[in-house]
Amino acid sequence: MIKVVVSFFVLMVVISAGTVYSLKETTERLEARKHQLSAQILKDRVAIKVLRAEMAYLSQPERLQKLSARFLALTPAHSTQMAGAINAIATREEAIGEEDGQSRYKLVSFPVDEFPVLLPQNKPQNKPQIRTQVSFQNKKMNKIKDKKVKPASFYDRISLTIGDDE
Amino acid sequence: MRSADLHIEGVKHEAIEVARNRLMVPAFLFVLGFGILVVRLVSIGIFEDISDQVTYSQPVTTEIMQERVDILDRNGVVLATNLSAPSLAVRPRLITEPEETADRIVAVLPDLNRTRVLNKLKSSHHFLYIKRNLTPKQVWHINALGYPGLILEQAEKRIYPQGNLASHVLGYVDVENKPQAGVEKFFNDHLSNTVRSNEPLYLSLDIRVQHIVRQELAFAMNKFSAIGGAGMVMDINTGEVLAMTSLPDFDGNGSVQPASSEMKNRNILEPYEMGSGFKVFTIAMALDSGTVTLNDAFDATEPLKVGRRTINDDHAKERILNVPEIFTFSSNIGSSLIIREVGVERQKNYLQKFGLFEKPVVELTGLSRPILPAHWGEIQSMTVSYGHGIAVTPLHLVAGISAMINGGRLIPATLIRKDTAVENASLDLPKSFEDEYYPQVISPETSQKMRHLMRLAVEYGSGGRARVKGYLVGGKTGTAEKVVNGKYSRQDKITSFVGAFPMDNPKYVVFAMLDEPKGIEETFYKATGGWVAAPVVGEIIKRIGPLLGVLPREYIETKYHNLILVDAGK
Repeated sequence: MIKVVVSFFVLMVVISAGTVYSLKETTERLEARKHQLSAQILKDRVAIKVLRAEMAYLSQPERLQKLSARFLALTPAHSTQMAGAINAIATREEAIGEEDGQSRYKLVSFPVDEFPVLLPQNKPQNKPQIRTQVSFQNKKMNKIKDKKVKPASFYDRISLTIGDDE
Repeated sequence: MRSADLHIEGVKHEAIEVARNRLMVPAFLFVLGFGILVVRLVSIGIFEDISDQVTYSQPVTTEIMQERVDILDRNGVVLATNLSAPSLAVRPRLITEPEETADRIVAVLPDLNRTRVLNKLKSSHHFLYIKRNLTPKQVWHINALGYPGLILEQAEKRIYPQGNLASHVLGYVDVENKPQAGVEKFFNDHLSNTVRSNEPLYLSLDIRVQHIVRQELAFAMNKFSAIGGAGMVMDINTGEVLAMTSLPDFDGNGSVQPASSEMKNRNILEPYEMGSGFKVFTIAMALDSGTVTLNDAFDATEPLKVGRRTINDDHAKERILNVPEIFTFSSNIGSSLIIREVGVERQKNYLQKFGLFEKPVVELTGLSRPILPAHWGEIQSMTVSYGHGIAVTPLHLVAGISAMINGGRLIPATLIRKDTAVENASLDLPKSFEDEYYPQVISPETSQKMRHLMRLAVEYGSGGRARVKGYLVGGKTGTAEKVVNGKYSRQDKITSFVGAFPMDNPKYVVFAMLDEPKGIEETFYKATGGWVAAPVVGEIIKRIGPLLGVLPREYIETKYHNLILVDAGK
């Protein structure tokens, strides 16, 4: 009888000790994992914050305006381009010109070259004199091929027409 | 034998029985002891708080804690943020080879002086700073050197990614991250609260509009060789300031000289005599009080002599002018005669209602009081009627003009984005901006008339260069002589233009002011508001109109144009 009782208790002690040990082990492992994940999340958040600041810095309106004027055939939106009602928009037939049957509206884009767009804090003496080096396929673009690129100063306004010679 | 055995057994049995009984006591004690241990073990494992037991780990958070809260524009573009920028320090006693260490430090941080670094490494101090605010790349290189004597101390630096763009609104912080000006100072309680690190401050500014205003102003400043300029765009229905710029400006990232002229926010810091812009207030109070109607005419044939003073017209018509003409052709004589009808007391009451006697209202520090005439007699009343002898800040003028055309409610200017949804959620009230109480300073009918009159001034008057295709622009030019050493200077002028668009349903007030512009050939060497400031406002409206989604509309003739007698050939 006693043997049974004692062996029962011994068994209970062993089992409960084992259970508690494994429970604690699991918890600690989970805990460590949680720490690891939290640290990673925090690290990512800090990195995102830095990236957001960097993005704000790189997308300064002044810089974007210069880049856009240089590389895109886009001009600022004009009030005449806005329509208050759907009827005010020209149909496809209306948009096609009379002379050669081609669309009056052409989509053009400038090739990307090594135009130096200076960030505001760069020193002026670092300004490299760069000629455009990309070979132009479009005939119209050849005109500006050998023109020296003058970086726009702060006081230069971006003109609304691009691509045409002065 | 058996019985003897039994006897012996009996004796033995007794002893064994005793022994067994005695054994039960320690056995019971053992079981009890282990039982307590088991219970305790289970209770520790299950019921007790784990974090108390896990001593090796620190409390975890996934939220960024930073010294100062971010500032964003109304679209969420970062205007100011805190980034980690550790400081490099040294414990000289742990440095074994100062020369080599110094060489390597200078290799990573080339702007440092090698001799100075070497002196610091060799000094007898415990702890010395070498350089503040290292970039992440520099931190990596310093760590890669692996010197135990070099210490990177965690620190944060306030970064303004937009540079100069909104510097006067934002203000700046000093080396210790203490705010020194602008929104940084006004909202310091929120911004310096680390618990609110994840609640960025949304300003009402739109960085695109801010850029356009700044660029156009800088262009005009350069063109007319002005010494300074100020520009503002304000939503007239909510009072939100979309752009506020003052030139010259500064970069909050760099070293800032607090007393220099770049630090001056001309929109709020200095009162100026605004000139003819004030005629908007004069005509509005005359119409609103009912003393004058639009059809009344005043004699502006000759300069008006009041006491020892003579009041002249800049664009003299030398004939009898009605009220719309007085406004359109900006007649000083006419507005003086009108204010004589209105009376001094009533003029003061109205100007007070328009908020021109107090500091302007906006969330910035360093707001300036207006300079009012010391003695307010009839002469002063007349000069004030066309904006002389009274100096107010541009913000006064912009807020006042907004009230004149938004239906007559004086809405205080604000730099904080007004978000109906958020505001309603926090107040738990079904409330919209229309219901909010703002003082009604003139009647909606008068406000309606002022809209038409301001369009007249642009279509037929001095503000013609502010016209924009597609938008109905209204406004009023202002040119005032600058007070230099207590005297009015003939050359140095303050020219301004305050405009609004679209006038059929006004949304935004646009203001531009230039300090001491010089006339150029293109403007026939004139530097008046119409030549200098009006084109700036026109260009700004041309660019921000489509950006802010203001629908263009066909040109419609001004309501009162039949009241205007325009010179032949104009």
